[in-house]
Amino acid sequence: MITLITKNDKAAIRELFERHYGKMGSIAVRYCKSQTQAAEAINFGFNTYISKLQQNRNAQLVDIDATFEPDFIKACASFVKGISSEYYVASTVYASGSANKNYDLFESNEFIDFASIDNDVLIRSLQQLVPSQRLVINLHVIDGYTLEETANIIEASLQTVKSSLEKARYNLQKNVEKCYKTMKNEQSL
Amino acid sequence: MSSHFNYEIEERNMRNQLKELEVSFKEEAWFNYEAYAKQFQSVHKTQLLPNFNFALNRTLILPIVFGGIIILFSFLLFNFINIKNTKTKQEVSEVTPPVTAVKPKPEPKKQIIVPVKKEEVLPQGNALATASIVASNTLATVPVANTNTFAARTMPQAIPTTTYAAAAVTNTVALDTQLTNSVPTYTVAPKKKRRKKGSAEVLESIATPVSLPTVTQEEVEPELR
Repeated sequence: MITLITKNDKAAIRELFERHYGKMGSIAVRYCKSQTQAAEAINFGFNTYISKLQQNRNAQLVDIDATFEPDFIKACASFVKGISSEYYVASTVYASGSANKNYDLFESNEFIDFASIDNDVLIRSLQQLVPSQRLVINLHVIDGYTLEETANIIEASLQTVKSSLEKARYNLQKNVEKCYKTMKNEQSL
Repeated sequence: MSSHFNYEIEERNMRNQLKELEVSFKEEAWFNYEAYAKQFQSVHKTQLLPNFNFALNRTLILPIVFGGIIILFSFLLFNFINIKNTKTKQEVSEVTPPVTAVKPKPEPKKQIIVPVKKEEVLPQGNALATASIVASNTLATVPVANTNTFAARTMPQAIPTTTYAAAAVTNTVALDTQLTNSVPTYTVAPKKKRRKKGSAEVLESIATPVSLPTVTQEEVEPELR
């Protein structure tokens, strides 16, 4: 299969695409802010992997199953980071208006079980994070990279990664709470 | 972030949940990828020449610029201060006249022996004889140093000074050939020339006697008053 991929055989490439699409989709969805951006990230990540395989002289020795996921994750991270306008501008914090604030003391404060959060809620709350925080929490918390490795991938200092992780954890929990509340409101309506 | 914030999300559960998550394959995604790959390949095919990336930082540009300025300035200075000084040489060559005839080396003065005629009373050619004597005297007084070498070589018999002198000599020779055989000779000292001040004479130093002469008589010291 690898030899066919190196010869740019479409059938082999399609087979690889089909085999790993499920995994690619799940990774791209949590790294990107929307479904459309996730589709672009899938294309970018898969194409990067194929071209890397074709350029590799020792392609025959490559274990696709072992190398595909980490390579795709790195490609996804670089894709998100590559959208520089979004990456930097999205970090800006805007002051929210008084209309958004709720001063109702008797509002029902139901218990949220953070141990078992719904997948949709988790993904939606991850997508709502700013790119830098989203990258850090995905790489370090979900994909299991160390802080140093994360810093290397996103090309930032260790201190920046640490501070981003702290903010990301806080924001993620708040986003999860928000998501549950909106879901409840939708259900009540 | 407030100090009252408690992080309650269990990251291990979240990780397992998201890792197990998989998206179902869609045919549309493949077509989407094909279109993307075609576009990507077409972009890459156009780039036949290899890309050369030169990092032009200020660390590279500034030394080059300063080096260039230094070289230009030194070249400018070199033009002003010419070590060989060719201009002055040219001027000197312009001033000096073209190569003249080589001055003959002053030959050592020779004592010229000139035949002097006896004053004989000749009834017919008296005037001529006197004239010839006068001419020969003038010849004798003229030093050889002033003579033209060319003229001297052409006429070995006598050493005339100039063409005029040579002509006079020829005349006298032609006229008084009969007299020259029997005439006694006398020498004429050549004219003294002024010595050149170029080289000073080196005088020999006289060795003074080492032992001073002894005073036999006691010198009388003058009395001090």
